[in-house]
Amino acid sequence: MIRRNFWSKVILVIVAAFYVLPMIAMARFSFQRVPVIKLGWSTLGKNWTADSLIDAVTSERFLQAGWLSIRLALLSVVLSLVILIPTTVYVHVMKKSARSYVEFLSILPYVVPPIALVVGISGAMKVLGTWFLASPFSLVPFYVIISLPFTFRSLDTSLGAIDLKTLVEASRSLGASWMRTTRMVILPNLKVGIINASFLSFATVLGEFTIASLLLKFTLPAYLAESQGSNPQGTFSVGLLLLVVSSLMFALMNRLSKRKGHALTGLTL
Amino acid sequence: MNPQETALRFSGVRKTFGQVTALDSFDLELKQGELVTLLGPSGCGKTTALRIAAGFEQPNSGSVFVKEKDVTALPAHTRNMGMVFQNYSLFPHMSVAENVGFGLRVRGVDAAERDMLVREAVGRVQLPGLEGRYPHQLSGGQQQRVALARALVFQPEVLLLDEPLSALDAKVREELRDEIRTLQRDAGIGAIFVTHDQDEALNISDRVCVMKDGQIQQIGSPRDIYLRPVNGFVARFIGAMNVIEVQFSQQNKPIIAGIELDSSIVGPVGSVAQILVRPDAVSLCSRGTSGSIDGTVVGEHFSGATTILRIRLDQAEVTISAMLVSRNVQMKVGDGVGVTLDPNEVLLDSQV
Repeated sequence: MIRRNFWSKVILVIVAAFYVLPMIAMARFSFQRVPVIKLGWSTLGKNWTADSLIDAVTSERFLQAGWLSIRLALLSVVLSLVILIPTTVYVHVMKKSARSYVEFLSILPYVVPPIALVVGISGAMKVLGTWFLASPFSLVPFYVIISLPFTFRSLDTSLGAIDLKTLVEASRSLGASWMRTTRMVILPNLKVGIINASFLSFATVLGEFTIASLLLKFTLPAYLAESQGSNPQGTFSVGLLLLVVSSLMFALMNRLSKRKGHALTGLTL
Repeated sequence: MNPQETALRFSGVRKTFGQVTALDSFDLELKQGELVTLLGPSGCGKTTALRIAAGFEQPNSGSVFVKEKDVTALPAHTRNMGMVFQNYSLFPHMSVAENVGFGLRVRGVDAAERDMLVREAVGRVQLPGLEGRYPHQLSGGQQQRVALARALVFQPEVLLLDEPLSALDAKVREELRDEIRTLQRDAGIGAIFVTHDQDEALNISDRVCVMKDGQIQQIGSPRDIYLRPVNGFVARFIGAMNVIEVQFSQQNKPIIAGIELDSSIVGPVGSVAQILVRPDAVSLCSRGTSGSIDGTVVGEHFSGATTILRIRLDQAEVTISAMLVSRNVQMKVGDGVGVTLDPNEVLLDSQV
């Protein structure tokens, strides 16, 4: 028992180091005004400053890209939920047999490369309406698609432990209309799934680079790529900031989910 | 409550799922305060009938009436029926009190009155003090009690029970079975109880409706169903049954192992048929007694008050069971015995 405890701690330390060491390195590179070649034990405490981060986050390019990314992320979350909540409820309540098809569709974005998606859709859109791809918000449908593996699965797992069909029927037999059943029974039981799906699709959108760059949209990752050459310290500090913010978001998400005994299951990023 | 008044009536209900006919020409009348069991093997249509009553399925043809009002086209939530499901039907995010009060809340009953009614209902199902618990903190039996309280608290027109005991263990099942009966009787509500468990059906019902392949085989009191089954299916499905092949004599009487049986059953001379007789209508005497069939005891199954003896008949390729009061059993395996069948309890099998 003690032995096992010891080894599990060793593994934990190794994993933590794997995660934290690059972050420390990033932090030193970004926030210390010391030439890279001199970054060692002796210079650990020297010349720490947040200037590079402040400069970066107050630059107009950053604000422009950041604002776009946040709007895209929020819209993608909303659109994902609008499409997926009814779909998930439908397959759980009305047609269990359709679940495996929906699940298959939801993991397709894993295997279809973003480039194929972009080429396919932009080809179709050139015929149907060029205005679509001109707007930066044309990214939203792409983002809804690429976050499908996370969003559908979050909602689906949150219903895995309960028999939604029976709950809906119980509610209806007790006199609740569909509207009321949705409000009083379905949504409360989907809450954890909705929280998880929202966080995951938000994070996916904030970090997505390929599609944005292929469609020439200036999102946060595009900004990072662009400024890497001209302002490496600023870029790294923003990268680190994003990493910390998303880690905190996941911690928060896990906390919110665990309140009802559902841990975040079966999901990896 | 007027016990002669009809609480629920199915009239010529038919339901198909694709090629499968789940329910056909289904007619059933439930009186106020009566408990009718729908009994049959899985796939017989009993659950479909209940779901049509609840409004979860629409019949292809036929109608459903509640107190003579046609509700066939009404959506489930306007039918005012209490329903108890097999399991997992409590809302997991609501406490016991919130679950029980759900139907009242939907009906706009104010909080104070709701509280009072909920407390009363929870008390009636023997769970006082557990109002604040959540479903996952309750045992299976307690959950079904809450579901029962929830279905009864708003005084529904009809109580629908969809195998409510089948997920529980034997002891709890028996307890809750009796409680359901008491509560339903006290409330004076007509109830439809779906089960595949014949003991449960015989125990709890005013009338039992035995079903097979979407059709009613027999409706009658538990006693009728057991003692006077109308066909071979009902006879075999309810209780244990001996099946014995016979040939008809010159006098058109059945012959078993060379012995002519003096019963009301008749058949064309020389033809072969199967007769059915319950183990409790088989009695034993000493070998060679006139009119008895000789046999040998080949097995003994003791179950407390009663014992089942398996007897192999000497002159026929058949082993039959006799149910005896354990106290009176003096034979053991290997003993020779004489077997007599109560002629009034012998049925001709209509099912080939």
